[in-house]
Order: sequence, then structure tokens, then C-alpha cells
Amino acid sequence: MSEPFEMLPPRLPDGWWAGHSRYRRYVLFAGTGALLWTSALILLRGVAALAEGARAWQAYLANLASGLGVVLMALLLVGALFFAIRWLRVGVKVATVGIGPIPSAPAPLVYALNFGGLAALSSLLLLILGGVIL
Amino acid sequence: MSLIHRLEPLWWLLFGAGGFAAALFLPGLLLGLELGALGAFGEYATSYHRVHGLVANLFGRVILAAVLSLVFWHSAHHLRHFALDLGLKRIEAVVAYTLYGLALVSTLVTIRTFALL
Repeated sequence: MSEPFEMLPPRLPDGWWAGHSRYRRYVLFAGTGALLWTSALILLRGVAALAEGARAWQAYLANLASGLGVVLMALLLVGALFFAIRWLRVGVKVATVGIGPIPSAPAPLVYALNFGGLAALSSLLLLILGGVIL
Repeated sequence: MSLIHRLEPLWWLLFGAGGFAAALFLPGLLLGLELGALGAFGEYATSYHRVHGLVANLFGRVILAAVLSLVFWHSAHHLRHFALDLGLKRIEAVVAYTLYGLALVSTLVTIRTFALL
């Protein structure tokens, strides 16, 4: 005797992502993948310009300083900051989950390490790129 | 899809490492580069010889190449799962092979670009 009906796999309802502010933030977070990829490609283009010579490097900087370049970099920076804050907050939750008898790390410590690391590394990069050190 | 599924631990490892690389390095790099391009740091800071020297030394090459490559793999994995969330289950294999393929090509281009410095 054959089955009277076919079981379909569970699926999310259409437009699920618009149903709640948490879902919309999740979609924005997932969408940062495209912004991060674009950021890495722009940085890689800068490395390629360095390999091509001084003229290509100056042209690269001029593109970044153009109106379109400023808007694009501002968008990418906002995306990178949004991603960083959300990722590091998730990192705190993951690191403080108790697994069996293993004691979990205290959340304030992990929080301080994650966001202190972001602040310290960003400051260091700004000092290096700004010509203050190295 | 079996190859993609067999390699799931690798994708998640690259996703995690790339996430931290992106979170910790990209804000500072993007802000510093744009401020430099706008002249906020003066001519010396963004001069070709100075920046070339920073990026072309062994330490600079290894750190930057690793960060950029990990960001590519992280983004590919994130976008793959985003596509599944949006209901693209039927073309899951195409999406996975396309995104991981692009990440592989991007990584190879990154290695070649740093080798040319």
C-alpha cells in the first residue's frame, strides 16, 4: 500500500525575515558577508597597486579619496563595525557556555578581552598607518 | 554535495578564524586607509616607499595575506548559510561550490599578489 501523501521538508515561511526586528538584524548581519568580501578585495587592490609601483599607489589613494570612494569606504566601515560588535558579542556567549564539569570563562573577562582586543588592535593599526610608529 | 559535507569541520574552522580576523583587523585597516587617502596623516604616512616597506616585509606579508584570505573564506561560508536561510535549498550545491570556489580563487590571487611585492 502506497503512502497517501508525501512529507515535505520543513521550510521557513516566505518573508520570515521581515517578521521581527531580531530577524532583520540577523539578515543584516548575514549580509555583511558581502561587505567583508568587498573590503578584503579593496585592500587586496591596494597591495596590487603597491606591487605595480608608486604611480599606481597614488592612483589607488586618489580613488579612495574621490566622492564615490569615500561613500563606499564609509559603508564598508559601518558594515565592518556592525559585524565586529555582533561577532564579538556572540563570541562572549560561545566562550561562556558551560560544558560538563569544565568551568566556563567569566563573561566580563571574555567581554573585556574581545572588545579590548578590538580597541587595542584598531589603535595600533591607526598609529602605524598614521605614521606615528614604524 | 558529499564533498562539501565531508569538509564541514574545515568550513566552520575557517569561518570562525575569519570572523575574528575580520572583526579585529578590518575596522582599523579601513579607517586608517581612508583617513590616509584623505590626507589626514600627511604625505609621509601614505608615501609609496613607507607603505611598501610596511606591507612587503615578511611580517606584514604573512599577517595581511592571512587576514585577507580568512575573510574570503569566512564570507563564503556566511553567505552560503544566508542563502539557505533565504530558501535556496534546491540549489545548495551550486551555491556552495560557487562561493567556496570564489574564496579559493581569491586566496590564490592574494598569495600571488603578495608574491609580486
